[in-house]
Amino acid sequence: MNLMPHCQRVAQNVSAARDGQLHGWARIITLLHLALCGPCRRYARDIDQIYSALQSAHQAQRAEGLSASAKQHVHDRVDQEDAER
Amino acid sequence: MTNKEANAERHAAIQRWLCAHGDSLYRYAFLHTRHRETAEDIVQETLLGALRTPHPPDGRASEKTWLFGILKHKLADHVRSRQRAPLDQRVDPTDDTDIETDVFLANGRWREPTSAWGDPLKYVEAKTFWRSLKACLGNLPDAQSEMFVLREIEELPLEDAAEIAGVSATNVYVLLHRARLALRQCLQHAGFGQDSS
Repeated sequence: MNLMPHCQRVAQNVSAARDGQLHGWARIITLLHLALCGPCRRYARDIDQIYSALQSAHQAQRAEGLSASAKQHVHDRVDQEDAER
Repeated sequence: MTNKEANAERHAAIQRWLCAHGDSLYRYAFLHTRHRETAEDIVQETLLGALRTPHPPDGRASEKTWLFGILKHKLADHVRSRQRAPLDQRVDPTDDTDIETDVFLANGRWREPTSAWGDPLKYVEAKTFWRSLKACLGNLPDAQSEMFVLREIEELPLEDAAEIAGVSATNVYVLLHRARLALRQCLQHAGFGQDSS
C-alpha cells in the first residue's frame, strides 16, 4: 500500500475527484498529500480556478453560436424538402 | 395528418432543437472544422438528418446526446470527404506526445514549480480568457479536446461523452486528466497566473 503517492499520481487523483471518481483510501491519502505538498495544493486550486473562469467565460460568450441566417436556412430546407415530396 | 400539419410539426421540431442545442452543436462543429460556414452547414445537415430519424428520444438530456451523435457522424462524413483520418481513428488516449512527461519528472515530482493563479477573471476579461482557452484547446490532441469540450463545456454526462467520442470509460478519465494538465500548462505559458500571487 502506497502511503505517500508521488505528485504525478496526486494530479491524476485531483482530476478523478473532479469526475466524482475518487473514493476511500485514495481520497484520504490524496487529501493528506495536498495538506503537505504546496505544489500539488496549488495545482488543485489552479484547476478549480480554471473551471470557475471557464464557466463564467462560457456564459459570457454564449452569443457565439449559430447565425440567424443559418437557423433560417434550416427552416428553408425543410420547406424545400417538403415541396419536393 | 395533412401535409401542412406535417410541415408545421417538422418546423416545430427544428425550432425546438435550434433553441435548445443549436449553439452547442455549432461550437462543437466549429471546434472540428475551424470554419464558420462549414460548421453551420454540418449543423444544418445534422438537424435535417434528425428529422429523418423515425424515433427521437424523450427527455432533454438524451435529446442533446442523440443530436451530438448524429453530428459526429456528419463530421466523420466531412472528414472522409476531405480524405483525412476518421474521427474514431484520431481518438487515441495513448498518443506519444504525453503531456505527463512534459509536466512531471521521472520520479513523479513536478518538473516546474506550480503557482497559485487566483481567479483569472480578476485580471483579464472573460472574452480574453475564452479566446486563450479555445487556442489552447486547439493545441490539444483531438481526443483530449473532444472529451474536454463534450464533458466540461457542453456538460454532457460522462457516459454520453464517452459514447459520442467512441472511447472507453477508463480512457475518458485519462483523456480528461491529460487535457486538464495540458490546458493549465498552455494557459500558464500564455501568461495566465503569472501576475497573481
